[in-house]
Amino acid sequence: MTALLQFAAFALGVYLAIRMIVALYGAVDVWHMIGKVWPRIVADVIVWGVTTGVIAWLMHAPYRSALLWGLSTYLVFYLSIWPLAGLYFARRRTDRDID
Amino acid sequence: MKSLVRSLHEVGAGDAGLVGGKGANLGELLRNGFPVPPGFVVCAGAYARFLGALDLGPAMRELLSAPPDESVQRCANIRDRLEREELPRELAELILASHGRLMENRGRPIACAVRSSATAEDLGAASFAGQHGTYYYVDQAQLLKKVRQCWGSLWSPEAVSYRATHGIDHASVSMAVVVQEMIASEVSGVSFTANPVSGSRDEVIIESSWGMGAAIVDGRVTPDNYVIERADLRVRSQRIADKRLMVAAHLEAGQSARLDEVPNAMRRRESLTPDLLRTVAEWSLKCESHFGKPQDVEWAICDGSFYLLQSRPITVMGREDIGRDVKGKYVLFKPLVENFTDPFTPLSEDLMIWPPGIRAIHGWVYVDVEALQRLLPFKVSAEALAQYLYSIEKDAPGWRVSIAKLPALFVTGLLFLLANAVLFLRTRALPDGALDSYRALCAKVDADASMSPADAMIRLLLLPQLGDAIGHMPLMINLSAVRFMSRMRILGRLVRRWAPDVRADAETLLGSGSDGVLSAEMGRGIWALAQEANRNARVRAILLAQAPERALAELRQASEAREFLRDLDAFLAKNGHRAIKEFELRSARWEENPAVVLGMVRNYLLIEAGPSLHEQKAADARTALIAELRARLQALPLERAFGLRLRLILFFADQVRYFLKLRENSRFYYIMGFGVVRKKVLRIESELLRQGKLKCKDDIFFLQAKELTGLQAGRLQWLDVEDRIRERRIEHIRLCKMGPPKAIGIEMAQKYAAATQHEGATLLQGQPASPGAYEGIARVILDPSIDVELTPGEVLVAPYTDPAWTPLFLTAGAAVVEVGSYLSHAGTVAREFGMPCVVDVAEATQKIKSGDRIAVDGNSGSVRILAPKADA
Repeated sequence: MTALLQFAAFALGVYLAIRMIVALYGAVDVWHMIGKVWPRIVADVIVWGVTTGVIAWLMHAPYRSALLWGLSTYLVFYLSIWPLAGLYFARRRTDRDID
Repeated sequence: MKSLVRSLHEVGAGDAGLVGGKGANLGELLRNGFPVPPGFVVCAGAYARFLGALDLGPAMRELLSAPPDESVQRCANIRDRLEREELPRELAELILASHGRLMENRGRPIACAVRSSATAEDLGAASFAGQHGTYYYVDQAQLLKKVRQCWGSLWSPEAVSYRATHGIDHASVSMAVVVQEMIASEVSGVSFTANPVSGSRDEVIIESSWGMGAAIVDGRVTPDNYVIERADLRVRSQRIADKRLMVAAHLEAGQSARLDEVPNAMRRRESLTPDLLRTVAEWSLKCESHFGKPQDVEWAICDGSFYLLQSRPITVMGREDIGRDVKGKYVLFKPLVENFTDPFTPLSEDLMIWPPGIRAIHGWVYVDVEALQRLLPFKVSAEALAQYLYSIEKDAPGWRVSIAKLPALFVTGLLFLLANAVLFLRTRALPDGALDSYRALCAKVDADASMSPADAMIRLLLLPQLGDAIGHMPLMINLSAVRFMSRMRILGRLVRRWAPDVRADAETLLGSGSDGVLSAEMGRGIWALAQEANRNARVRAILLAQAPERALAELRQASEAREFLRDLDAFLAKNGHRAIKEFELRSARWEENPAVVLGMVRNYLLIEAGPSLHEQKAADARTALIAELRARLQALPLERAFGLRLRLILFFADQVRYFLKLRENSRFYYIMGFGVVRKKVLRIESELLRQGKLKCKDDIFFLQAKELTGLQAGRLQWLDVEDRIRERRIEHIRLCKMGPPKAIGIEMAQKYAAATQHEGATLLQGQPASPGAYEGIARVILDPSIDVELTPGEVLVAPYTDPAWTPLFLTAGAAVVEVGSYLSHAGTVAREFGMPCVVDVAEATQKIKSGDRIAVDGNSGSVRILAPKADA
């Protein structure tokens, strides 16, 4: 049961990481109209930041650490997409394969 | 020694071993009274003597035992020596004496065509097409060098690798060289005594254009096309092209570029008079009768006289032969081919980097069925899967789940979801204007001279940077917007469950009619230009009286057109990156050729009702449908009190509208990225033309990316790529005419029955895409930039459509399209405009002729040819 709950905490961590990244991207994505929408953008970041903090604070130690593992694993996974995709495209591009 | 150089009169069909296939063929024709330009052949023996003089025999024998990578270098050495070393004096004198006789007979200096004629050209299945050198405009001073270069081309990397692949001994191949007077043709072309695509023997196809014929053969110009009845040489159909370019008969001193602009007055004029057309057809049929096989004839007209340049058997290669050399099982990637049926040019294909499971074959994009088969958790054959992917089977027909594949699918699906979760959430409710930042990114990349076309393609389309705004990744947004399909399915199920009797296209109608769709605004922008033109009688008269290019030139001269031109510039500033066949880098953008937009404006001038009328019609139908739904749902429990069912339906309709809009708008932007890549390619082209490394505009698109960088870096020169370009151009034209095979390595069932006769009419079957029935005169349009005119009420018959075709839908009474599906561009626009449309009608543009009276049934997906053109 504990393992199952720890897995659920890990999955929740992944989900919260996704929401947090999306909230942080909010300002960049609507920069052209930031003057109008900044309260919503700030609210998004606060809501997801606070939700993550509160959930982590309320959890017992083993589950909290699973949650944090979920958060950090997704963050690493997400950040690794760029260099990996860069490598993929560098290998596949044809203009540098000279006769 | 004398036998080493022979006049064309002295050789015949039996001399191929001495003078090569080409030389023997020309000699045979000349001997039999065909009007072949005079010339002579430097025989294969001369080549052997030259090899002997250079002592290259041992080097060639050693090739047999050399490892492959080393043999390429050894071949290059042989080539280098052949091209660099002087010919033995007697041989050189013989060649120059023969050339002197040609000049004597003509009474003036002449330019010659120097063409390789390999003696192994008839070795079984080996074609050697395009591997050996051909040189035009050769004068006496250049002659010996060009003869040596023809021999050297026998040792080019392509020719060597081809022989190695086909197991042909390098030493067994020899080469003669044909030297012929160049005909300074005013008109030239090619004719086929059987249809090279369909194989039909009852017609002769003639293609002609102004100037020299090389430009037609390798597709640099779009020629006039005539289909002649073989029995009585009557013109069955003709298509007069907009002939913008020609290869002039003479090169001016110092001129290296070969293509000239065709004077405006000649561009849309028929290049062949009826008499000349008959002459060409008659000589072509005489060639066939002489050789006993259908022929592909190259010819030229000079001072009104006909000259035969070449006659060879037609190789009818069917669509089913394409991809025979490819291992694996592939099915055409339908979403792309619905927009663009031509193959990509080599450069476009090369610069695009496809994701795993997708690959380009001969320029068309295919899905790897076996890779997908491995991934899907079903026990399904490749054939069934391909048919499903090509939507021949609408539903997955009882595929059994494979338990063993489930874990792998779960992992793949999870990784996909995790990798895209952020993107999906960021795009679920984007405000209008979120993609505008892409315009600035495009300008930045365009201005960065250090970025190559490949870098630009990756930066703008394939790989955004971490921290980029969502607006910088329109292609990703476009892919993520396919979520409209799941919403559409849910919407359809809800509607069918709660109101099964409402109109058949209810979910499509509910999902249409978004505000702020940029392609719709583009249509309105063209309409506004037409309104502006209508306000000014002079502008209107110019647009209606002249072909678009001429009209543009006249408008620029007319002071009354100032306001119209200002509006046109404003329109192009926003939409100028769009083009016909816009995924193809070779396609000129509207900002480069605004005449295309003028053609659309002209179409709007021909009709009274603007897009708003059509949009209003659709909006009224939508309102009526919602009212009907509300009334029907109220009969269900608790609906009157809470209206939950209707709200749920409208919620999903909103979702469908949002994602469809996102799909359209993101396309509007990512096409801008293709425009930037094109600009970069054009800049390189202009530099290479200036350096003489390229000779003709547009050739650059027939290079591969690595060849382009090789030319830029100086590792390759024009002579290294000239034949490759020519060969690829010819292949490209052939493939364009043929169209893509639906599948490679898989036998696909026919989706619809072939054309049948039904109640005195020819019946074609396709897929219904927009309901309604209509009867009218057909207008086949293959390229909306050329055939811009569609008389109001005519039925548009097209190979495919994309946003550039939209204005034609306003003029048309109905549409019939060769490819597509319910959700393709043609269906979507037709439904918006409330006109019947049938898509996926195989070979519609060939079976239906302009002027035929046809009946389109958008409910059943049938098209009937009621009366052919003459009777209609």
